[in-house]
Amino acid sequence: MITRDPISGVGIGLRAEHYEYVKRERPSIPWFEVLIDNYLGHGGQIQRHLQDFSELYPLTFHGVGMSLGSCDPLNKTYLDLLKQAIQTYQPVLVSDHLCWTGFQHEYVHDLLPMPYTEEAAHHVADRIKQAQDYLGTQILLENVSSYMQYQISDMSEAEFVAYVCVLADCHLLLDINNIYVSAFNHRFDANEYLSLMPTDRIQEFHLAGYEDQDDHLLDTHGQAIHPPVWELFKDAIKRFGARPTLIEWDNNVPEFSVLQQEAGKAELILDQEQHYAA
Amino acid sequence: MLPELQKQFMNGLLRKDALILKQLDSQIRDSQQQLNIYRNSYRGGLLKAMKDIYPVTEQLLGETFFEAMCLRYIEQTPCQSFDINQYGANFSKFTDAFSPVKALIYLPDVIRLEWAWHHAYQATEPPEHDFSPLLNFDETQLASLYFSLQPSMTLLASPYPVDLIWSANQITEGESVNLDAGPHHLVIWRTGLNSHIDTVDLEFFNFLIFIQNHHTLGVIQENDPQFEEHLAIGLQRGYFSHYHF
Ligand SMILES: [Fe+2]
Repeated sequence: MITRDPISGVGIGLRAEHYEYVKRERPSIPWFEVLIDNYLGHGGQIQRHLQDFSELYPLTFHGVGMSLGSCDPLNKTYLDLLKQAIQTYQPVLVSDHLCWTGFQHEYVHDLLPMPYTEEAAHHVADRIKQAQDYLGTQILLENVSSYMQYQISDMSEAEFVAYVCVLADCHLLLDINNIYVSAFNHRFDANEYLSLMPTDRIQEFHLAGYEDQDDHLLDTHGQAIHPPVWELFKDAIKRFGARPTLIEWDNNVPEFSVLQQEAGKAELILDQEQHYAA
Repeated sequence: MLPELQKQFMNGLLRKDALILKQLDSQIRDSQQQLNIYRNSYRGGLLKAMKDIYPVTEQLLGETFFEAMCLRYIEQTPCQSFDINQYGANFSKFTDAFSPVKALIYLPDVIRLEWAWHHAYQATEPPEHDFSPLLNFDETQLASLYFSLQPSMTLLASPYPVDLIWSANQITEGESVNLDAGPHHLVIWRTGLNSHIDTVDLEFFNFLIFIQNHHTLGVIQENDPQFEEHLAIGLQRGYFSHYHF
């Protein structure tokens, strides 16, 4: 069971480029999110960093390794390592994605979307329940960006996300950038998507920058958050109220101060817009 | 339905099988184009992982050639671990058989060294083992013992001074290394937070190979005239993680 105090405000995704800076300067950031898969099963300096940061800041764990939508059996080795890390470092939240990342011992290390069907919803929800039981904690499920759609889907992505959360009784990590990217790629209405989300289950927001490939948007986390994503974030806060919000930046990682500026913008929106929420 | 769909997608992504294309909705975007976006991102992710692990190899080959070679490797080698940090383990074997780099005779061993360095950096520490009871063992007991090397450790014998090539090419192109400097026997491992590349002599290296191949101390003693000295050095340097009967 996770027993840390709840977090609030705008956190930052911790990246290797900033390890030394953060340890030295101890910037005033309410919490950091770590990509936990990078630490699992590793010792030495890698484990030392995680140890150090867990003593300095509240942490949330964010992973891709559960492969919750896959038709393989749940990976016990991975879950054991994750469970051990949860017990050792006591993260405030633990999250993974509504996707699959591989099948039959071949791993893509990418977030592959599910078909939006009744069968797929029950499949992934059953696995989330198993994972939650195994880990002894509820997890947050994140919506992913996607670039393909299956013929057999017979509900919308938003309906699917909401349905799975209810079936699995898990929390929701709503990635605002991912909604925007998928809405652009698949021509759906992002605000209508928000209107279908289960408000009470939302425990965190993600914000990141995409890359414009003309014909589609690519979720690269390699630049500043784009204006329409900020707008959608405002809409989300008006609708749902404030939640812990994370700035994600994984490629072309800039100086830490740039991330702090992004966090400052998000902080302002949280302050200004949350009063509209019922 | 779902397993079949996932299988078809993997075959499409990794083996260019066309079955999955019929399963994708092409109203907005061509099916092949949808799959290509995922192919590119898959290849890009693994390429990035390999660039992180093999910076010296990239330095030696130049970025363009290195990337092309990695992509060829990636085409042939699906990732079989949930941990992307395990990807690229058999890149040296691939290089052994990759004729365009045949002239760089030392390259596969440089790759082995880079992998060993990567492995040492991320290996987990075994629990502390108490070696002091050894002092009370008699000859027969000692002879029946097995030792284990530290899990971070790789033993690498090369006809070339690959450790010198490695250190000369750390960030910028380094000074030239005399390839005739003779064979080098290397122990790549980590203590605490620090990784090391130790150069050892052939006899001690062979002793370590015996340990690695799970021979009893008795068998090793019969084969190594400097057995006692070697055992003492190994213990003193902390090369062993534990022993068992
Ligand atoms: Fe995200």
